[in-house]
Amino acid sequence: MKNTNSSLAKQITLTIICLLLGFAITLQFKSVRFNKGHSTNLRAQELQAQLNNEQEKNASLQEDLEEAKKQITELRSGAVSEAVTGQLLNAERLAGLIPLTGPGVTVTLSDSKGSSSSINSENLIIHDSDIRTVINELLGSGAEAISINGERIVSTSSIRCVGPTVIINNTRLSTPFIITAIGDSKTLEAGLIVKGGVVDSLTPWGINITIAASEKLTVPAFTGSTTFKYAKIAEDEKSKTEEKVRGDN
Amino acid sequence: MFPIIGFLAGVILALLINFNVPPTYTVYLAMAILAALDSVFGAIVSTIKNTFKLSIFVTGFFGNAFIAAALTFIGNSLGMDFSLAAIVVFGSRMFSNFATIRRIFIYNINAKTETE
Repeated sequence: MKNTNSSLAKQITLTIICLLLGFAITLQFKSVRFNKGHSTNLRAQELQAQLNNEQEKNASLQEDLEEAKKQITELRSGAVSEAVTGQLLNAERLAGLIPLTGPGVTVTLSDSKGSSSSINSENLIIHDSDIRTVINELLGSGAEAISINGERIVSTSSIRCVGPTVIINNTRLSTPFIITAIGDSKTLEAGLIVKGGVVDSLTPWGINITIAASEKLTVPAFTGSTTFKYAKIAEDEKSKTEEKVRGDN
Repeated sequence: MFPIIGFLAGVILALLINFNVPPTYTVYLAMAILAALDSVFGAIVSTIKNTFKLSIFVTGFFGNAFIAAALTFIGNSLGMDFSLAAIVVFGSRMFSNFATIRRIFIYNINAKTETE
């Protein structure tokens, strides 16, 4: 009797173990097959979903921005005194928050068409440093407003290479780079083509630089963020400006 | 007989439930299955040799599966594939167990034909 009992227990245990084994193996088969079809797509799908999400967010934020801008214009056209409006416009012009027009030059930079098999193929493409040099030269020659491919250069603008593109104001740009600068067109042009200047240093590599003077150019407004997170107005400056505002009113 | 029914029941059960192991964890289950299969082969050998002991089989079945999965996990955490150790050991043991089974069967058949 005892023998059959233990035999039964053995059978049951073995059955349970076999059940587990069959279950695990089949589950694994099923999962691996399922994952093979999906795991490669999973990441792409995930990223696509994220991208869509971000794009939606972007669109809604853009709407908010438009709304806020509308509010600002409404407020401005309201009862604000002329003096304040003038001050505001001046400040915006300095900060690059409004589009500006005037005479100036358009500088177009495009990559060299030369063979890329050359040893210094690095030098055949336009780098962030080349753009910075041109901009620096333009500012040095008295440029008052500058934009690159529609991106306004302001005091917080950065120009840097990311892969084959250049990122300015967090916007990805690629060649040709069209730099629009408002200022005295003759001085600006002279500043660029001066002997040993930026044009001289880039042309040997075959980089195409064309400078075109114009009577009327438009530089768009800066569209990026203008809020300061860390920088605060210094205390003594604050009281001064407050006094000034009081005086104006 | 019952164990085979149990195995089939497990297969059917796994097919019926709507659950898939996430890709991250399939490695652990695979390691556990490898260890379990090794135990099964060992059990077959010991049954043939008449040295089968249920307690040894059960502890080996679960213990090896657990250790194999744990080893994989530790290896993943430490940045080295420790599961290779388990794969090699269990794999080679499965082969040697199968070799034993083969030998016993062939000897038995040869012995039978000789007696006839």
